[in-house]
Amino acid sequence: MKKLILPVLLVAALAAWWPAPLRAQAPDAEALMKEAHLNMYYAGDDGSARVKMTITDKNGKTRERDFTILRKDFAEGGEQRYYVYFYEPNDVRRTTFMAWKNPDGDDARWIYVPSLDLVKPLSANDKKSSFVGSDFAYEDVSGRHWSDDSHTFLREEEKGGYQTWAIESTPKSGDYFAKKTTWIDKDVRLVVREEYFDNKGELLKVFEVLKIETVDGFATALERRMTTPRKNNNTLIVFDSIDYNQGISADIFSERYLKSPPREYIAQ
Amino acid sequence: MHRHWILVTVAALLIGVAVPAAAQFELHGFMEAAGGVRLQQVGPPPASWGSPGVLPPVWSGGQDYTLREARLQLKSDFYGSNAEAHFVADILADQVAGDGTGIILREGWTKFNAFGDHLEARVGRQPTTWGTGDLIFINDLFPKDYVSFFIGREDQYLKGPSDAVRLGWFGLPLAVDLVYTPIFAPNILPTGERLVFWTPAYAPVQDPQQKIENGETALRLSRAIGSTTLAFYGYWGFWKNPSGFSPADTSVAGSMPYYYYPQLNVYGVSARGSLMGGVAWVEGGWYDSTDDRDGTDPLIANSEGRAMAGYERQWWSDFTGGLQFYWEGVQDYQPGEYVKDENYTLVTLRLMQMLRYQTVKLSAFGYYSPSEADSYVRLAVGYDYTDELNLTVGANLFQGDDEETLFGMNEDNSNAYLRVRYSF
Repeated sequence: MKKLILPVLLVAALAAWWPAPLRAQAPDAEALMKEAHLNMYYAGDDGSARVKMTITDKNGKTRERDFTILRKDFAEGGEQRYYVYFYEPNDVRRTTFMAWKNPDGDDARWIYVPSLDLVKPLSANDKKSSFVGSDFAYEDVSGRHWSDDSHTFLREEEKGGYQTWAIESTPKSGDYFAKKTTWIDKDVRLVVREEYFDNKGELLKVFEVLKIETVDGFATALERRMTTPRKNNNTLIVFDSIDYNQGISADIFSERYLKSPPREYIAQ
Repeated sequence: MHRHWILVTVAALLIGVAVPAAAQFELHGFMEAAGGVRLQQVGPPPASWGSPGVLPPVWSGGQDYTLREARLQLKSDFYGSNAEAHFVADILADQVAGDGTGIILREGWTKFNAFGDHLEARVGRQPTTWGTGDLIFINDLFPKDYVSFFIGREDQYLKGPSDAVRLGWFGLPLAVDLVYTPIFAPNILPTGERLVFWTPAYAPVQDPQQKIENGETALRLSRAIGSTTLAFYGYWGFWKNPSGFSPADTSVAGSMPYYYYPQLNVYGVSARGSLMGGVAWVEGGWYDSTDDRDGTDPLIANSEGRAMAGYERQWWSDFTGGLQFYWEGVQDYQPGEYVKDENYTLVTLRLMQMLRYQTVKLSAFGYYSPSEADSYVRLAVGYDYTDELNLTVGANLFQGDDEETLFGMNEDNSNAYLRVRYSF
């Protein structure tokens, strides 16, 4: 038996020194999804951006949305509040929107219509309703919470120019999709692509990140596109003038500022 | 009309003070053509009127159009370092009601903060809305234009602007909103120019209240508890509809009967918040008819209690359905005193479906009163051909056998309309 000790130790030592990816142990899919979600949707304690959205239909006809979005996190991976001020289209100019995101329950949403001075709460149980007529659902704007799905590590691969981990997710309870594949960039640990499938395996929608840059020290997906293949419709979102950790007050996310947009964050 | 120009001048002065000359100027708005026709013949005027002589155009002139107008709306916003100002003006060519033609200032107000941002003041002509109901108002006593509402103009025209000073005070446990309107502004109701109406007697509405010493004060105290908003309201002014009648004084030569707006105070409360994946609200108000507190004067509306409860939810993607129950109860009710029942009940249903990336919007809003057995259904289909070009087709359908009820009296006003709008 003693003869075996040395070879065993040698193998063990070799295994320990062997490059990590070749080890049989797969990365923790849930931990990666959580990390990527926090990097995508919880960067800093707050953030603001000017957003241009272009919706292109099957005939190539485009519609534009132009808005400022403010976000404040109340708990990392937990409650968040969003504030949106619209510049375009012109018929909704000065309209504001507010959402209180609660990952453990229903969100709360409000819209303010300036021509009527009307604050209207919107029912928020349906997270897959389209956000301002785009391919992005409400859920896609603030990100689908990782804890809503079960995750399995698939493989490592190069995808769309990114070195990625591919992870497959299935909703824990019935949802509008049956399966989702997420590709996470290994370097910046952002989601760079997602494909949603229905229960027949048909592709429902595709999310792509087209441009990543580091802003205030945070890797940020500056250009994102959501495509709905069945409708041949897609929406491109371009983020501009991003700022993180400005100390946005929690007061901003209230009825007062819904009616009176905070000028320090909103361009004229 | 002179009020108009005083307001413009005041607002212009305020902007001059508030906004630096370097402020950029942007002009937005829309052009719109709209047409609407009555869906049935106008019947004879109310029998109770006898033969009043010259009748309004809907009965005398055979007015078939309910809506026939072209409108150019211009909007501009000015932002200074300490204040901002907003203007919205409509240039309207109205082929149905001649006096509607001209330039109508819809908004002209300036906003500034003081006392370390605790105080927010808005001064000038502005829309103001509060309360929780969906197209039902209890504690919102700001002026409404029911003619625009009934003929199918866009929703924003339901709200008549108020020439008001609005103060908001923030930072206390309750947010305080105070709106002072120096000159009483009543609701706009059918006058016979384009829509038929019913009143017990044929008499003009006189509004002696429309002078500077007869203002309106509205107060709201509110607090958000989580995503639920609780609010208390007070209003000191006048009935917004002509709820008082002054008969001819037989001892005075030439005295004529008229309707008017008696004094009214309203106190109320509301709560609105999330419930079972949707939004629920309750609101109540006490209408204190101070000119007839004991309810003994049959010519002035009695005090009333009003209450409603509503619920709205998204039942599937881009489909919203909502239901409301509403009640009015007359205090010191005397049977036969006036046409109103002791208890008035109303149910509303809203259905709204958006299709094709929200470029198509189908909506139906129905009012049905079990107590008066009448109804009003608003149907509309909107289509955004582009972000700029919108087409809306709709109908306002009134039904009720009794000409004295709210929707019954409007039965001959049922109409279908079409609007084409270009926004810029």
